[in-house]
Amino acid sequence: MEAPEDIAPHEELGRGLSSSRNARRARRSNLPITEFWPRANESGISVDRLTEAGSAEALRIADRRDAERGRTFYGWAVLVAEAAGQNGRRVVATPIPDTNPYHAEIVLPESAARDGDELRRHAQQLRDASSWRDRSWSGAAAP
Amino acid sequence: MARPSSRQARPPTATLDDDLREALRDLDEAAAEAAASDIPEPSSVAIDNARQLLAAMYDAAPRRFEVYPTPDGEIAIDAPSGRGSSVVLLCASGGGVMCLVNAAGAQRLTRYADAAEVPAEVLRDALSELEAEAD
Repeated sequence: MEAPEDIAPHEELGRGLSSSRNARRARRSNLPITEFWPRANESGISVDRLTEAGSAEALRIADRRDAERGRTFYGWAVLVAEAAGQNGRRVVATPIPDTNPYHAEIVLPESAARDGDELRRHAQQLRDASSWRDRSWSGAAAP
Repeated sequence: MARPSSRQARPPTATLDDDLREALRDLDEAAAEAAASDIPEPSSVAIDNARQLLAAMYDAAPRRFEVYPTPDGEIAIDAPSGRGSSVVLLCASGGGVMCLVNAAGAQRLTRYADAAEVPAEVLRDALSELEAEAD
């Protein structure tokens, strides 16, 4: 199944979460802003295109991804593409062949890589624009 | 007539005290959380500053603050409104403090050289912005 390359402004994007501590924080109030810092091996912020994938397929992909890393998938921080792409950020479809055709990245402005203040600003904006969606959204049992 | 016990008389306060206690517990566990997450452990200076500022923030606006380590060795004290705004203090391992306020459609970032330089009224005003948005 191929997802369209163009990402519509209303599309929901999900940042997968595999930290039990942060899942508790998300259920209680909201995720840490650190969930929206690019990880060491990422050029952008990895997200799943939830609208395109649909709930069951998005969960299957996320469960498999985290299982391969020896982690547990708890849910997503969800935001719409329009918000993800504000303030100089871009959202780019980056499908992973044979694994995740619904993969995308939120790409921060190049200056954010050199400027820690700017990185933190983006992380706070993205976190505040997101809301928690537990894996049970897909009808799955809690881990 | 029997006087109510202090617990009966002040249940909201008891709940808020629980919020502070749990946030302090998260702070106590921040170094272990950083180690488990394979990120740099925050310094004792960052932890001490976070303890001081957490108390000041709780005094300004009692609520549950989220406390956690960052990948850069900071301690974050985070007050998300859940409605698209937040106040976040980042206590750096070198002793500096960054205050990020995202509220009313605008974002502000202020740096302080030390926790003692963070004015109480700045914290109070920032946190009151979150409460005002809820009204």
